[in-house]
Amino acid sequence: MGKHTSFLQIFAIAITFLLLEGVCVLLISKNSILQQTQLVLRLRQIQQIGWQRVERRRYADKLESINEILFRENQQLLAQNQRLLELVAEQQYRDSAQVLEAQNRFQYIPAEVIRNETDRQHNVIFLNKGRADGVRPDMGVVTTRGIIGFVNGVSEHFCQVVSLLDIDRGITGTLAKSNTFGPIRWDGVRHNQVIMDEIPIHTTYAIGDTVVSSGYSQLFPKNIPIGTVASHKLIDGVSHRLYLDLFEDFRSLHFVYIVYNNQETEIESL
Amino acid sequence: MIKVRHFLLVALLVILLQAVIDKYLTLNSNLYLILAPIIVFLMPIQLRGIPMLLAAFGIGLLSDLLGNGILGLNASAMTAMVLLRYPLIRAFTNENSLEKYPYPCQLSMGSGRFFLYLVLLYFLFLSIYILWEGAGILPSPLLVGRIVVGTVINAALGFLFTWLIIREE
Repeated sequence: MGKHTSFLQIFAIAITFLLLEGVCVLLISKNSILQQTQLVLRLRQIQQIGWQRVERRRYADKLESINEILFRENQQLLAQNQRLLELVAEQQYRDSAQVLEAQNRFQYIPAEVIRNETDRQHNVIFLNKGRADGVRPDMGVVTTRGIIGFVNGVSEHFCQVVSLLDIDRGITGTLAKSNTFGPIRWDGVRHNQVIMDEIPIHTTYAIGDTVVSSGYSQLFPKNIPIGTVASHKLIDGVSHRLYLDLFEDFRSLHFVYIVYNNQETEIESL
Repeated sequence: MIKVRHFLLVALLVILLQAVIDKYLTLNSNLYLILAPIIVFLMPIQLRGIPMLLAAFGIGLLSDLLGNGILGLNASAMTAMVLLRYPLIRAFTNENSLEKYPYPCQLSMGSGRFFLYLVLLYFLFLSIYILWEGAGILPSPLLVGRIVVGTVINAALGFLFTWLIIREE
């Protein structure tokens, strides 16, 4: 400030200034909800830009492994497509066309993960698609290798997803072989394993059996693979608890699909 | 010329006037009449650096407590504004004037330059104050309008006030 101010003085003035302004920011945010909201909003926007940059850098580093995953996914899809074509062509079951039609109930919005948590009890994921892209709260989020979660909050260009790895949230899954369904939830222990409860004691299953989405909720399509049975436990002598190894590795998530149910409004109006 | 011992009286007068304005003189919700920065404008030239920052912060906080705005707004604007005060004084005043008149005023700077000094400081003060209060909430043209109108009117009032209390002995 002065004509002959030394570097040390300038530094002390700058620190004092920042401290005083910090006190002011605290006072303002404590005393006005409007200013507090604006502050949080701006900070969140800055955070989101930072997360997006970090994630893009990580993505660039992981391109090789992502390519491999995409290649495998592509192979699975081709195989699936081939199987479906054969089913339709040979008319092995009549309702296969209806199954495909049912699948068309859902549309998919591809999105990129810009921030992903797996080390908390309530994990959230941030995606780079928001209101401007047609995303709304309560849409499901999936990949071809599993259910990821559902949209919880939406801004103009970003959205927040409640991860499947949240101890308070769950989905319904079905044992692919027996069609027995049960609630699936995360126990907060391992990021690659979930629990499927309430499987009746008479149900037959084996280690390695596949569990898929039930399609009972309006959020997710039917038959999305979730995981395989890794172990089981008898609960109170009346039901089984299955421990499922997830197909999707939540720690290397990058591309996901936000699911939009075309018939949600119609179903809800019933 | 106001003496050093009179400075506290001037500050008290400004604070009382500000309290009266806040209570009885709300002409329009978009027009802010803020006299409190005048105390900072007129502070002795020798006061600068950290003491000046603390003084500005204290006066701002006092204005917030006495006024009816959001606590911290005046303090934030006043603390930021004061960074520009000394460079402006150096730019608008020569050494001889500073020795004769130890306060920034029309006598030490000349009327035109003193008015410009007030305009620039008020502009910075009101920019921070109004943006803190309304950025992201009110439309940008309204915010700019508030800043410009507020700057002109407050600078004119400040000039008039200074002219009334500071005279050649």
